[in-house]
Amino acid sequence: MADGDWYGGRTVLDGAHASLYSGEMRLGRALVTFGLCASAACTDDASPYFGTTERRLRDTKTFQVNNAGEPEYLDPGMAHDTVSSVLAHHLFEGLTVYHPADLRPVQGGAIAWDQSADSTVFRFHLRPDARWSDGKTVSARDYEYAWRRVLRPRTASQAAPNLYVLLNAELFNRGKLKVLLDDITALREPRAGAAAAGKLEKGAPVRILARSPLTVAAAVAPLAAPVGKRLVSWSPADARARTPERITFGSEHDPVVASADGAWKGATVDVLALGPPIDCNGTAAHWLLVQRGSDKGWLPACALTEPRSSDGFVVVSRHARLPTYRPRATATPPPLGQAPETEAPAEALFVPARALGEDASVLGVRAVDELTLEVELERPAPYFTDLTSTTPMMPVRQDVVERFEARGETELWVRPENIVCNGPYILDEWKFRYEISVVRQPHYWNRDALQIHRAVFLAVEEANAALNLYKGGDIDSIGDNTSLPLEYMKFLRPKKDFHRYFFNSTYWYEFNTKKPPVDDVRVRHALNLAIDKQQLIDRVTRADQLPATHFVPDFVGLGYADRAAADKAAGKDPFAQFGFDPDKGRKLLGEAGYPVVRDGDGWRAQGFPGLEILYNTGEGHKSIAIAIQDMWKRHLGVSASLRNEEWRVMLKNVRDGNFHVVRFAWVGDYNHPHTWLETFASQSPQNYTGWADGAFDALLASAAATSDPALSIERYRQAELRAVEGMPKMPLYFYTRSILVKPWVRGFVGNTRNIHIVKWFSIDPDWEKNVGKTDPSKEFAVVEPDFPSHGVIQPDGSVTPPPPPGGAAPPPASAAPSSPPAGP
Amino acid sequence: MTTYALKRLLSVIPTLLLVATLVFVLVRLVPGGPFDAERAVPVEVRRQLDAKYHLDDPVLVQYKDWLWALVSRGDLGPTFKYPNRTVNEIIALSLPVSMQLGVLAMIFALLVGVPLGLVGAMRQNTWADTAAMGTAMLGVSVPRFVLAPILVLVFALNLYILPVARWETWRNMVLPVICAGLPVAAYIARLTRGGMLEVIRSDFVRTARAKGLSERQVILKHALKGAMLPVVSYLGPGFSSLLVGSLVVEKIFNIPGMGRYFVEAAQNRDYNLVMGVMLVYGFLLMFFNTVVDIAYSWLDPRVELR
Repeated sequence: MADGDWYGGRTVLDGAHASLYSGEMRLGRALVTFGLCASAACTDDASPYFGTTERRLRDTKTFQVNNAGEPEYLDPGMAHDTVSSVLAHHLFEGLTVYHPADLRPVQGGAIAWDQSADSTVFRFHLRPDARWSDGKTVSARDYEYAWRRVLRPRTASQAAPNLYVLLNAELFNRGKLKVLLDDITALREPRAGAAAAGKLEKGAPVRILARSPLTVAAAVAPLAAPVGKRLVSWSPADARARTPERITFGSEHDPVVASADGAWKGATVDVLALGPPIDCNGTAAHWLLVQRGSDKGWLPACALTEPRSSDGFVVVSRHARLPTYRPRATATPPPLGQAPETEAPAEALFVPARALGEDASVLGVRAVDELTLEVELERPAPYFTDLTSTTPMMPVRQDVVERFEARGETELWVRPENIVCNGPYILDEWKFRYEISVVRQPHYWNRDALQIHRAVFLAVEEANAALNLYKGGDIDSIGDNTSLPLEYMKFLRPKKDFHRYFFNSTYWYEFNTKKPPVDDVRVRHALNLAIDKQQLIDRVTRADQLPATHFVPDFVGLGYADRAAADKAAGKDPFAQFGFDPDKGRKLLGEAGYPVVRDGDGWRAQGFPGLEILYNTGEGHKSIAIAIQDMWKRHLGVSASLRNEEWRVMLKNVRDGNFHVVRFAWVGDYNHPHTWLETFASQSPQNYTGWADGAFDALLASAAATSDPALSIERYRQAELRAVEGMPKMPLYFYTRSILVKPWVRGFVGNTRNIHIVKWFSIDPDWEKNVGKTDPSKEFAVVEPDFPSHGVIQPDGSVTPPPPPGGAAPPPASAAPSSPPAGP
Repeated sequence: MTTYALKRLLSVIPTLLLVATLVFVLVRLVPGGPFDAERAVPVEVRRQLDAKYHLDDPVLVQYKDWLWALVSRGDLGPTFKYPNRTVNEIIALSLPVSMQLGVLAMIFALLVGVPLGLVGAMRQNTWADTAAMGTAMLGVSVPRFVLAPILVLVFALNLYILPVARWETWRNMVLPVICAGLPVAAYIARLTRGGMLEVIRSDFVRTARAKGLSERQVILKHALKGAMLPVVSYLGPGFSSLLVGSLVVEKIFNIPGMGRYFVEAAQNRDYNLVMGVMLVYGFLLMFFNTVVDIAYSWLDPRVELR
């Protein structure tokens, strides 16, 4: 997620809330800062804690915390922002939950799982005593329904892409995978009475290639994404250069007719025949011979959008890959750099659009019985058990959701009077934009272990107000989503109730690799080498972030952190060469045709056309941009101008490719390198850089398909190296989070996911006696047991027992240092 | 007067319609849509979202549907940012809070401002006048985002006598009310003083004095009414903007009022919410202007309502 919204791309941190009134507030904030420190000088500067050490609340079973905003959705299938996510984690529980300190998956809704050696088939054994808040057993069907619902097109869940790892999920979610509603004879041409092309049985799955009649209207949209093999590309109309919008077809099949000078825009065309297969945007499709009026021409099927009418014919092909819940092949890893084979559509058939329906059973998830859930994945995902603790994979109750759906009030099922949930807590009160309180869920399986019986989440958005509440002892924790104002850091840092820990996120600048001068990889590298990231952190961001020479944070789990640490210890850090090195940067810039010469005290890059740094309005982004502008000037003699835009305006410009360099960040959806590296894939919707590299795509695919954990991580590192070499994005730093938690709160340890569940906490009224005597990581009120080692599912469906402890196959465990090194 | 009031209130309708149309068009002209987020969603998901909220209809159709829902059912539509609340619900939840704050702030402003202005006028060019007007000048020129932190600092963080934020009991209301009301009070003080100075020198006041009325009676019974005219004309826009809330005060004191939506809704491209809050504000503004005009005729017999 990018930072702010969350799920890979969540933007809450600093992106979305750039404010119009930030200038005003800054002055007010400065005053408060002055006041805080002034008052602190006489009252509590000597105190090792910030603010009062008197708890306002007498009740030690109630926990008050700021959640910094109003959730968009409490429905776990829809949640995609951090505020919602924190609450959903309290109300619902997935198959796995994560350990409070190191995030390894531990027993939640499931108490054991089996998986195939290649990480494509999983079988979860559910907890028999898990109950919904109305007392019913949490069944495998609830998970099955929940996942299918998220992926159902009409749910329109923005979290759906997080489930694309399930077999057929992406095609299904995008409405491209349907089943026949009846036995039917498919035709060769899109008209009644045409020659028969074959029989299709009721229930047969088909993949939609295109529709007829077709509108060429936004023939553009699907092509706007980076194109894998450059067979199809699209460039938007440019008013300044007076060039029309243009679809360009590669020469391989040379069927270029579709004059895309706009003449066909919005036209309705007939599909006459099916052409050779084509790879467009990573999707296998076919050329279609289309006719509009008297014009004929070829268009790639993927360039055609669906018309609104359900009349007419659909071009489909049979879809063979249905879930079998058995591993398909032996678990030998594919050769390095070679992507797993994808099936190309065999034949194209015309069927009437109304003959097609939606059937969620094509998805790779099914309930075998009440307590067994089987999952088949599209591709191997060693991180899948980690993923099952995230919100879109949490179960929901079909009868509850559908009752409200039937009334057309779907969103209301999460209101306190309606909600049925399976997590440790249940909604008690929901005061809109003010506070949400939860109490212990009456039937939660681990209810008696919960030390906090009631938690109140305040929606205080203004960080100063939250700080004041904390200072006065009204809240026990400033919360996961409150960003402490930078100017307080120095004052707060030495306090004992101040916590700083790494956060799974990378701040980076993205280049538009289609736009000179940053279309030259040497220029991009030169720009990267000229940034002293340590200085940027020390002087500008000032929160002990880690300088980044690459994209995946050094502390990411599931083997990555260990590998990164080992490489560094052995002096073999492959990314060391991309650190601050202005000499090399100047040399590279010279090679790129912009010789850097001495100019007085500084440098000047001759002939360099200048750059523009784009960022969304916000103080933090602005100071970083200024620092980078300055370093480029100082070390390379390159002039860059700054452009700040309101958040959504900026997003639009980025998507339209209207930028040189833009600030962005990515928050990991799960604790595995894949979530970061995926955004570099040529067909990724998150890839705005225009950088498309076949070798990288293949490396990433083979890393994901490798079942041996160590080898897989090794390959992820190779893929990452390839991405760094291409430098479509310039990594700046790995995030930290800084928060305040009152000393009487026990069981708080910062975790890199930055979601802290109240179930881990307890309030210690006698905390003063215990200062220094306790180890916070051993005080969690609740820690779920570890999973037993998993059995291995064989191709015949049988399960071989897990290897004995200490055996060859290590269970996925994550190692993550939970706090940055202590420093001055 | 009733006919006049009715006529004025009826004329509100076409004006609001005009405002609504303008805002409807403007808010859609801003680049970016309500479902743009850092993480791009697949085209198909996006299309479903647009379809769910009918954003894929032609703009004219959207406008027609929106207007029809409003006229026939009083329904302002769903919000995009808070899917489980409607615009009506959000306004129903937040407007009363803002109004409570607004009314209290206005009462505070009048109680402080009018006496301050009177003192200034009666003791013109004395130290009392200078002090009163100096205070007023300060009140006008110190913005709320400076005032609020100072108030919090002094009363909540140093003296510990009032809560720092939130909206629970009367104690939570003290600081926000002062903060919202003080600049208004200062303005009112200056207007009162100016109005009073003008009136005091007029013939009817001289007549009243000549009749032998006590100074107290002259001021309160005769002069004050006339002196309030400029204050009253300011009350229309002043009151309506206080009633819908102040972004700054609501943010700093974390009050769940309506003020914040004026900026936020536009930032979020929450089209329906933008329309909703604009209409409420527009209506209040015009309503209070009408009330002010009526009050004028009562205060000043020379004004005739037509």
